[in-house]
Amino acid sequence: MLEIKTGSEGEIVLEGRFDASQVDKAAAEFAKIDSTCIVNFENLSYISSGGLSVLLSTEKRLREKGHNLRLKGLNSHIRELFAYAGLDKVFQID
Amino acid sequence: MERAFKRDVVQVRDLFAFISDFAREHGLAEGAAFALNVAIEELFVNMVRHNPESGGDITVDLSTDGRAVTARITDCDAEPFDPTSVGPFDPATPIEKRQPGGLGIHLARSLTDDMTHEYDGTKSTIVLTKILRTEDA
Repeated sequence: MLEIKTGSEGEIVLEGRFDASQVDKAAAEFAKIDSTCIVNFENLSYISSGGLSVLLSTEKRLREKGHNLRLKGLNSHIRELFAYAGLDKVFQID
Repeated sequence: MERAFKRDVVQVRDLFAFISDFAREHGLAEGAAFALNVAIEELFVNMVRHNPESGGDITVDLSTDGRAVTARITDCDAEPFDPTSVGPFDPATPIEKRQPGGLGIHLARSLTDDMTHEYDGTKSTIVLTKILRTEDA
């Protein structure tokens, strides 16, 4: 199950598992983002290509307006997944 | 251990529970369990999306000899589709040229050590092998 919350200073906080079953719900939430935004992964244990695609489409849309997503708190397994997908070079990851 | 899953993306939750039970029972390291979760989810979802009209279940069979885990994911009512024949995904593709799709099979390949495909006329089976390493912890 994935929980998407709004944290301090408007950051998006992800909690749980971002798998294929959560894509529609997450896409609806990420569609509301219209400017540069921090996405906090500290409590996210899992992500698969469905979750990555939501992040990627959001990043594409924001870049067209000169904005982007800034990801933080990725665990080592998720960080490795980003590297396999080449997304460690696409996203700003703190 | 083997289990059948309905052809629905929401079944990934039960799939994770099944893989987690197997990982716990066999003492798999966290990294190996994570890799198997992602690889099996990607192939399961691929089967659901590419063969939505089938009424048959998708089965997942997990086994280990202590050195590697073998996962057999079988679409019980499928046209032949060999994911191992899909061309390589280029992770260096810039964001503006990235298209939806293709990433899941790339991740399944990247996170495991071998992927083969079997087809017997109705059943399409993908066999994944994940070698267990101490660094997977």
